Order: sequence, then C-alpha cells, then structure tokens
Amino acid sequence: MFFFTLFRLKLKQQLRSPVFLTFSVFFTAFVLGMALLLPVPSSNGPQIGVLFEKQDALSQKMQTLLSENEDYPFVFYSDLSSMTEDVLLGRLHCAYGIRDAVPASLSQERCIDGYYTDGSYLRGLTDEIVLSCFLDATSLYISENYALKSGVAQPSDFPQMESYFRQLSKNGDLMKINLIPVGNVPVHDAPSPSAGTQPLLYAVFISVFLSLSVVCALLQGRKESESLRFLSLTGKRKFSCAFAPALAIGLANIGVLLACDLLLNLCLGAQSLYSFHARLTMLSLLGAASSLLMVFLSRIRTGSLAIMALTPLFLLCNICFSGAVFNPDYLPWGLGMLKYLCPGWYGIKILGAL
Amino acid sequence: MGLFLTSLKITLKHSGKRLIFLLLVFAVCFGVVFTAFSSAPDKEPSPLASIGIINNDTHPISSFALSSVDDLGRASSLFSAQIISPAQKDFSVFTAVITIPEGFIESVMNGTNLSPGVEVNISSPMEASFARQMAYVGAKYLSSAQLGIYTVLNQAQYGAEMSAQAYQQLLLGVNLEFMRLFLDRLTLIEEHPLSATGALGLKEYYIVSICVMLVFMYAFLYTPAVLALFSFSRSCRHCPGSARALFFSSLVSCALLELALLLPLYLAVKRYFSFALSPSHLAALGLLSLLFASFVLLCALLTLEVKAAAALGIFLSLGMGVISGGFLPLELMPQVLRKIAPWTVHYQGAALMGGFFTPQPASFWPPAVMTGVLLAVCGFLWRWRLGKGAV
Repeated sequence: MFFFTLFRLKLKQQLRSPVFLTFSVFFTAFVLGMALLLPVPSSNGPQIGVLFEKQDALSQKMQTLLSENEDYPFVFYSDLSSMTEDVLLGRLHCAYGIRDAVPASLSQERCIDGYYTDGSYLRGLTDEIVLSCFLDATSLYISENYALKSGVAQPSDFPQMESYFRQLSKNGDLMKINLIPVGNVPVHDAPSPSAGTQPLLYAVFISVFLSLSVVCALLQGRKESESLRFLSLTGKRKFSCAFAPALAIGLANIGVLLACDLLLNLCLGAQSLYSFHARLTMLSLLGAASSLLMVFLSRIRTGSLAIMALTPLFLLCNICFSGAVFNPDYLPWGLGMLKYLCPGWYGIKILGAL
Repeated sequence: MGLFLTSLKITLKHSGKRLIFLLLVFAVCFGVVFTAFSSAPDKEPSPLASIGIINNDTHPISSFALSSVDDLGRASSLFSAQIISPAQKDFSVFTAVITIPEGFIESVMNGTNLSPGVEVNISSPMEASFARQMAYVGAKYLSSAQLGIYTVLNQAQYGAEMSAQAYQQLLLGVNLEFMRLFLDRLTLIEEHPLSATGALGLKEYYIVSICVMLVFMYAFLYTPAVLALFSFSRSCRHCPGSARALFFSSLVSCALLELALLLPLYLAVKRYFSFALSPSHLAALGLLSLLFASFVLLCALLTLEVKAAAALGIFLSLGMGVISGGFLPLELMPQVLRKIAPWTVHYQGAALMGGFFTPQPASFWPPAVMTGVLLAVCGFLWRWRLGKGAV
C-alpha cells in the first residue's frame, strides 16, 4: 500500500514538475521538427527527373521513349527548382533538363542539362539512356538538316522525309537485341524497404532523450531524493522508497516516449520502417533506462556540473557511433568497439531485429 | 579601469581549468569527426556489371571498334567489359555475355541487321538491369543512326539521279555525321553538380555546425564567472561606474576565453585543410568570440543559475541546430526555415566560420549587428537585475 501511495505521489509530482514539463514539450517539439524536416528518399528505387523547356513534337517523342523504360521510372517536371530540390532531397537519383531548341549542329552546342549529386552513382547509365532517347527523337531533324546541307532536299521535301522516316521506324528491319535470360531470379521473403534516414532519426531520438533526462534529473535537484532517503532510513521501507519513484519516473518517461513516437510515425505515415512491437520494446527499455539514470543522478552529491558538461559530448558520440551516420566497423584502431558503449546502437539493433 | 582590469584578471585566472576541459572536449569531438570522415568510405560501392564480349565477326571494323571496349567513359563506374573466347563464357564471372554474329558489320551496312545475342544472368537483378539497359541503349543508338541514314539516302533515291562518286560522298558523309554524333554524345550534356551544403564540402559543413553547437552547449561553463561578477556588481552597486566596469569585464573575459578556444581550433583546421591565414579570418575570429560571449552572458543573465543556464544553453543550441541547418543542410529544409535561420545566432556563427573555407569571407554585418543587439539586451538585463536586487 505504501509502495502505491508513494508511486502515485511521485507520478503526480513528476507530471506537475515544471522541469519535466519543459523537458517533455521541448523533446516533443524536437522530435516533431526532425520528423517533418528530414527528407524521405524515394522508396521505389532510383527515379530520374526530366524537364522539357518546351513542349513540342520532339519532347513528346522523347517523353514516350523514356516512359517505356522498364527498369528506371522517369518523372516529368514542369519546374526546374522543384526538380533540383528533389535531387537534393534524394527523391530523384539525378535529373535532366532538355533545352528548348535543337541546334543544327548538335556537337557544337549543349542541349541537355544534367543535375547530379555525389551520390548519383547510376549517372554513367542514366546519361546514356537519356542521350539514346534524345538522339532517337532528334534523328529525323539531323537527317533533314544533313539533307538540306548536302543539297539532296529542300524544306518542302521535309514532310515526305518525315513520312518515310515514320514508315521505316514502324515497319523497317532495324537493329534489335536478342535478349536471353540465364539463371534464376533470386527469391526474397519480402521486399525490404529502404532504411533511408529513419535509423538516424531514431539514433537522434534516443540520444537526445537520454541527454535531456540527464539535464532534467540534475535540474530537479537533490532535495526530494534526500527526503526519500531519510524516509527509507526511518521508515525501514527501502524497497518502496527505491523503486516506487523509479517506476513513476519510468512510467512518465514512457508516456512521453510513446506520444513522441506516435507523432513521429504519424509524420512518417506508410514510410515507417520499424514494426510497432519493435518500437514498443525499444521505447520501454529506453524509458526504464532513463528512469534509473534519473534516479541515480538525482542522488549524487557532487560533480553534477561535470556530468552536465559531459552530456553534449555523450550526445555527439552516441549519434556518431550508433551506426546511423557511418558504419563504426570502418574505424581504425578498434575505435568501432565504442559502439558497444552507445545506447543508440543498441536501440537501432533492437528496432532492426524485431 | 582598475576595477575592470582586476576583475578581468581574477576571472581569467579562475577559468583556466574550464578552458582546458573545453579544449579537451573539442579535441575528442573533432577527433571522432575527422576519424569518421577519413576512415569511412565516401559512398557505398555500387555493384559492377561484368560484361564478356564474344566477337565472331571477322570484319576489320568490328575488331577495330572492340579494341577500345575497356574505355567505357562515365559508365566505367558501373561496367567492366572484356573480349573473351566462347570457352571463357562463365556466368559466375560475367553478368552478361554479348555474342556478335559472323557478318554483323556487313549486315549493318547492307541493312539486313543481324541481331547480337545478349545473355544476361538474372540471378543478380541489379547488375542484370545495368547490362540489359546498356544493350538496349546500344541498339537504340544504332537503330536511330540507321533511320537517319536511310531517310537521307531514300531522299537521294539511293543515288539514282547522282553520279556514283557523289553518291559515295553522300553515303560517307551521312555515316560520318551520325558516327561523330555518337562519339561526341557526352558533350551534349552540361553538368550541374548539386550540393546541399553549398560552397562547403560535407566535412567542412559538419565541422562548422558541430563547432558552433558545442560552443553554445558549453556556454554554461563560463556562467559561474559571469554570475560571480554580477553578484559583486550587486554588492557594490552604489559605487559609480562599477556596474559598467564589471559588465564589460565579464564580456571581455568571456570573449577572451572563447578566443582562446577558437584560436587553437582555427589553427588545427587551417593545418588540416591547408588554407592561408588572412586578416579577414582574424577579424572573423574576434567577431565570433564576441558573438559567443554575448550568448554566454545572455544565458547567465536570463537564468542567474548555473544548472538552469546549462539547460537553457543545451535547449537553445539543439533547437537552433534543428532550424538553422545544424543537423541537416538548410537547402534540404522547407522555405520558411530558410527565411527564419538567418535570424538565429547559430546561423550567423556558422556563416562566419564557413567563411574560413571559401575564397570570399562571409559578410561581417549581420553577425556584428546580432552581437550588438545581444549585448544591448545583456546590458539591459544586467541593469534591470541589479535594480531588482535579484541574484
């Protein structure tokens, strides 16, 4: 009975504490901000953006040719800034802007603008796909220009040339590839979605929550823990005095964590990578760990400023070594072992494993 | 003046340990960042499709065209190709094997178009898609060239009304036109590399961001010195000029301590990135010290308590980090944040520091104005708190 009374009182006090409320509001705003700001890369594999400066027969033909590509979806834009923004945000692998005029001598002028980032590793292939469609679409114009230049045709002959060109491209015996598949398509259990920025999001989530728990515990002060200590000594109820506050803090923390996770997954929507039970397990463990940490820190007598000073360092190292920014195994001199000291690494492992 | 100098001397004397601690923290942080950037590969290696080519065509043009097969230009990051004999055809080694039939070049010339066989190992789907796409691309180049050439030749009625020499000239000319187009095709593309971090590389960008965020997070380390001076100012508030002397003493001591932190950092970064020391860099360092010092003063005077100042510093630096590109480059953020960011101390500090890495230094006006405004607010708070008698 004493345990539950103490638990209820501590929970009530924690939920009314201005420090805890500030901490909860700040953490919720922080997580919400991160979830809304982090770009979500395309989950449908690499997509290529294309913008035609002018809509005409050439752009129509090129659009048809590009749309027929079975391996890489081409997305057509009408605004350059939104296309380049999508390249930067990772929604597009790379993008191309097709200029409005086809010059008479193609090799002397640039007709296509290519927009890439350092991560556009398919560029060698996508350049060739776009160029082959461009040359296919412009081949009639090139032949008309050459015929005009060499004197075998006048502009009045162009409709006749175009008619022959269309007939040939429809019925002509052109170069075809005889494609023979070899081997078997590997069987996957289920298509695995791209991890994208979600591991980083959860690494930051875990690290910031633990850091803020430390700050919160140190700010709440020792007065109350001293009275609990006194109560445990005089009342001989050591178990209740030790665990009831920890349980109350843990419950309050888990409440904040669950609310933030709910908001986070509302923002992510269908893109959410981790299952509900994986998140619930990780959040419960994080809530429990943070409550123990808070109870411990509220009882220390000296060195609170030193702990406060080490918190930003812990925050940075926890994010860096969580495995969400880079693979710690690449680090030299066994520095990668530091990942075992990072709660973020364990959190991401739990999320990925369940 | 005497009060100013004495209090400054005492403050600096008692802040040495904190400065050393802060230098150690920065050394550890930058050690982690530099090691991570220098050890981890820049990007995940992309899968490489290995293509074997069996050439059964004995035409000299065929052998000549395939002699430069290992030079795939930009596509060489995705493909490797080599001429092989039929006995070397092994799909555990090659993603795709292209077999060029006997009489291929002759068939292209006379329009019968024998199809090359492309065997693709579909057990590695991504590499197979690279090989398949490249085969389609090759066929498309060839067929569009053929379409163009045949259209011109048809217009010339295959030389029916021309001399044999003129027709040969036309035939050669149009073939060369399409060949030249194919060989020069990559020059049609004008490259526009995009980077979310602007003029700074990713490494430089995150060094600057982390540095600014850490400075703000650790603002509280100098809070005890500021609060001690404030407390002393309260005790002697009836002495004329003491409040001003002690306020400036706390400002100058914080600025000097920030400068003592920034200078070794600057020298280490300068050595690592090998950029030249310039007077504008020194001016930027001075302004940065003042900007950071004004932030320390603001946190201290708003809270008047070390732990609360620490919490405020951490909250503000994290919050400003989120909205001013500390975690994610601003170019990737919504338009509204790109408009808000320049009004934050984090952004101005990062802009000043970013100027070290670019040929053109950052503009000094916005951070200077921001420092002035912060100092005016701190001065007001100092006076107001003294008037209220709160400590």
